[in-house]
Amino acid sequence: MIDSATARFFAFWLAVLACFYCCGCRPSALPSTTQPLASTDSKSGQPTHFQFRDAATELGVTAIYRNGRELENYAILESLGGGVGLFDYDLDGWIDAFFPGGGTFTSSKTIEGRKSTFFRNHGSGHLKSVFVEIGALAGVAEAPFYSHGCAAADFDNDGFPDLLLTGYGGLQLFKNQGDGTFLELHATAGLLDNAWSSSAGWGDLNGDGSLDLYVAHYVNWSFEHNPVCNADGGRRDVCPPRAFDGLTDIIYYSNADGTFRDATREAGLKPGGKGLGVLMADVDLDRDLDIYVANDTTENFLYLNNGSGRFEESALQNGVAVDQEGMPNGSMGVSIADFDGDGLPDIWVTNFEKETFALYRNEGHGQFIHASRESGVTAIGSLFVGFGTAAGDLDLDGDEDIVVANGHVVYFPSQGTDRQLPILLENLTKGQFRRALLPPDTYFSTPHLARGLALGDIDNDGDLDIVVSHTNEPAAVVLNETPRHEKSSRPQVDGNHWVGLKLIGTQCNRSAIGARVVLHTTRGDQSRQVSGGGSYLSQGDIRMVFGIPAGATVTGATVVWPTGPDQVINDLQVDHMTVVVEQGLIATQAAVAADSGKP
Amino acid sequence: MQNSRNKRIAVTLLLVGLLLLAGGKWGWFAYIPNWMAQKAVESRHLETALWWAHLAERLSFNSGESEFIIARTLRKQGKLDEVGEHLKRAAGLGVHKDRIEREELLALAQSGEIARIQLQLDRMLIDQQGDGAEIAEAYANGLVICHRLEEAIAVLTAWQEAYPADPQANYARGRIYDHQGRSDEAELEYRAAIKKAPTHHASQFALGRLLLSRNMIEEALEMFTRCESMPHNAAVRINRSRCLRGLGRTEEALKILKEVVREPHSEILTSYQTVGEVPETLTAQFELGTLESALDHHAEALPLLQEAVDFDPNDLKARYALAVALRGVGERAKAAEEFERVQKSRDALKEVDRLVDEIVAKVGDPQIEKRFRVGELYMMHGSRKTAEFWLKSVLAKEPKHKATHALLAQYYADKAKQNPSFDRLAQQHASLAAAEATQTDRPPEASHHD
Repeated sequence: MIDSATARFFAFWLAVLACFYCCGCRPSALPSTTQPLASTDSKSGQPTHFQFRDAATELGVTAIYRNGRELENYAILESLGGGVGLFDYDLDGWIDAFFPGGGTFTSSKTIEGRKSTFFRNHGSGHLKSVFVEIGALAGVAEAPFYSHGCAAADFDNDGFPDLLLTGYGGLQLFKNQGDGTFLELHATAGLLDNAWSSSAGWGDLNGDGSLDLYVAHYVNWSFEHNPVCNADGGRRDVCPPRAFDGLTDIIYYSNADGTFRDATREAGLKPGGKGLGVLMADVDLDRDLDIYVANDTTENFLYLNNGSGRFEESALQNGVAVDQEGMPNGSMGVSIADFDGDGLPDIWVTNFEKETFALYRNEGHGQFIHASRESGVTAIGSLFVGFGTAAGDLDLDGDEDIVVANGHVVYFPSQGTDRQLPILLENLTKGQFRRALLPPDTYFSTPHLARGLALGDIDNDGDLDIVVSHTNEPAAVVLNETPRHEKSSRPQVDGNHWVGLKLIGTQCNRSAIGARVVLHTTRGDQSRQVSGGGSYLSQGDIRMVFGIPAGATVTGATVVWPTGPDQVINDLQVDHMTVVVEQGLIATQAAVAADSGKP
Repeated sequence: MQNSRNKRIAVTLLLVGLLLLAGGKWGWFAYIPNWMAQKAVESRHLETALWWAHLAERLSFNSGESEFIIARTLRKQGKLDEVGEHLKRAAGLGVHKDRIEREELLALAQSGEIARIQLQLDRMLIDQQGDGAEIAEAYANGLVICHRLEEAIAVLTAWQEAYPADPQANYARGRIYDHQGRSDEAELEYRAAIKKAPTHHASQFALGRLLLSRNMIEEALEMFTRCESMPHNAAVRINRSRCLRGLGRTEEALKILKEVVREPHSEILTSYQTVGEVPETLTAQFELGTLESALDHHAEALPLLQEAVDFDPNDLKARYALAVALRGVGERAKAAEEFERVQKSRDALKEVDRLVDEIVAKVGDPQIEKRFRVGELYMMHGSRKTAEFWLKSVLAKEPKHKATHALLAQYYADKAKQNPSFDRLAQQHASLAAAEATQTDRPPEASHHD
């Protein structure tokens, strides 16, 4: 209440206060409502020059991965989804596409596998490819277990890529017989792994010239161990991974006679882990294959190879086990690329929602630092549940961009729906990324329940296309139709170009996994590796595509074979795929659609 | 003529002097500053409130009202140990004893002594005497401290119904939801608070922090920018730098952080308290250290991260970053030691996930020992503030849990080394730990900072 004496002085003191203000005698930091907001330089989403088109139906790819969700078992088995394999099984120069089919449940809670589908790419003329489903004919359709992933490589060095299928309860090894058919021989080959396998990768881990196999295992779920877990609001939902114990991964070393032995102890694998993604590459550039494993909710693994197939797990010490705050993430997909162009391979990992996708920048000697914030990756937000991912120069501007397939794992996400938008991260320069926003009604503007993802030049036009497996909806074959001119709007004089390389090992394994190429251009070098595994449950095309930005000239390439010596190529033809045989012939073939009227 | 004029001047001066003396005596000059201070308290601009209240104090010889406002402001800032002295002065200067008693009760409520004074608080809620919002806020804060979150939400909801224009109920409820991991609901509450009071800086800060945790960086940056005009804004600037870093604007982030680390720790602490946070760690040093590391400036990062680890040896984030910096400068053996310590702690904390799942799965079961174990594990290997929360949840269900009192006594004794005001709590828990136990007699495993 205002008493009468005070009221008499009210006007007087208002004047005094006015003086205070005039003299600047006031609290220096009184709240202000008029301060303008700082301007922000938005990097989280930008209109883009990229152009993509989902042409799955048009091309005849009709694969659907099914997870049996309709029976509402709320099994974590349903969460993993399926992958995609892109490889040229008949060596006709066109990459074919394999899709694991998933599985379902019976009312008596038994698990059944669904048939895989395999689409042969007929090439079909000059402007587009045509796929025909040949799974049963080729002998790769049958899946005696609930399937997830695939990995393709020429494990018997006969020139034809073979295929491994992973899933809940076993492995299938399909040997390519070179006549258009495969022969399943996991048992005779010694791949007697009955654990729940997710991703796998091929690579010569002990340097004997034969491909070995790393198989990631997930958790100890079964219908006997299928606890009831509830989402927010009390509804039942899929249990989180922490409700289960992780299973130890397995390594099979080749006996060089088409059979394998369990070398888990010999290699020195660490027990536990909840493996979902596997990548084999030479991260410390010492000419042997190292292994990176993306684990769900537990520390990721980095196995550094001593050159003879004995590994030391050193992810924590080398900076790739956890996020920037030292916390393990729910990691799913993994890729490798030299994002900043310093010649060192960086590691890229997709993670669960509310976590940041991880870009581990290579500081040399296999040491990494978490650089998601500095590279602009964090700015994309954190509500994505990232799975399949791959790095590739999608606009052929001389640096590698990133694609991520997203989709939730639970029935009732606390935020949004289970379907999520895919992400395309454009490498602006030297590993600085921003999310490219594509127009409405394109693949990247439509939410999906996406899992496996692979890159490959489906239509042999010199740029990388994207194939994505979705859960309970048709897979996507997303053709890259990005114009090949510079990002600026000035009149196009010269556009971006490309150089393709397919490596064939003779001393090393025939798939050349572990080989590295340094492409020399007048705008600097670009490095790529032929890696084993990668992405999530998937196999990408192992041919390399280098983008050559407008105005740059290719001056040659150096192939660093795992078995040495280095091979120097002086005259590489631009806009052509060149086949390089280790210390042997170099043959060049033109792209079918390299000059097919694209701008 | 001259004499007459001088006489008039003298009389005028005398009258003005008497006027000033009377104004000072009866607190006339203090009225406006006190009014401004009261308004600032209501709008949660507590530093501004203190500025006005102190001004009122200087303009008046005996403003009990100023002292009372200062006491209230300090209570709201959580400086409970200073409240009593100002209330005593206010009482001496004529503030009615009922108001003094009510404010003392509110201070007790806010310190978590709910059980002892709940009856009086309930009575105060019925007979609010214009202080309804203050009572509800203190009551709810006390319930939160006692881990009685659902009751706190009920009080806040009643408060909101009674004072629909007051943003503080939304803010307080948002903080509880935030704590419970109900971030969507928390976001809605913060937004509602900001809508009601566009300069509600605590809500802006809390919303910014929440958005940043979701990597919604641009909007978070906007929120932090909007509350940068706060008097003590180091916390805001630290979080702005985090946003800028997340947007790849590392140079700007670096510049801000280099300025902030030069400021006294007490100033940074105050800035966090202003927005209702009590950081356990040296956030500025950690942020700058990790940024320097990310820029390959490991040598520059090292002393900053070492300082952060020395400040809180349980700060695993800082220890991990320290290990990375050590590795970066080639101190591989020391780095390996630090990595190992991080790994060991992380392994120990894995038990927490399992225990929390079990606790959450059985809502009706108090699960005292599991709660205690979670607190104990955090106390040994993780966030000691989180440990404190879990241990208090034990006491909320079993007030005489001896091992919990022992652990809290140790914790507060450690804190008292930096802030003597924690001595009282340390002694209180020590005496309860020493009292005859009703339940667990086993000594806690945790020993601080081995």
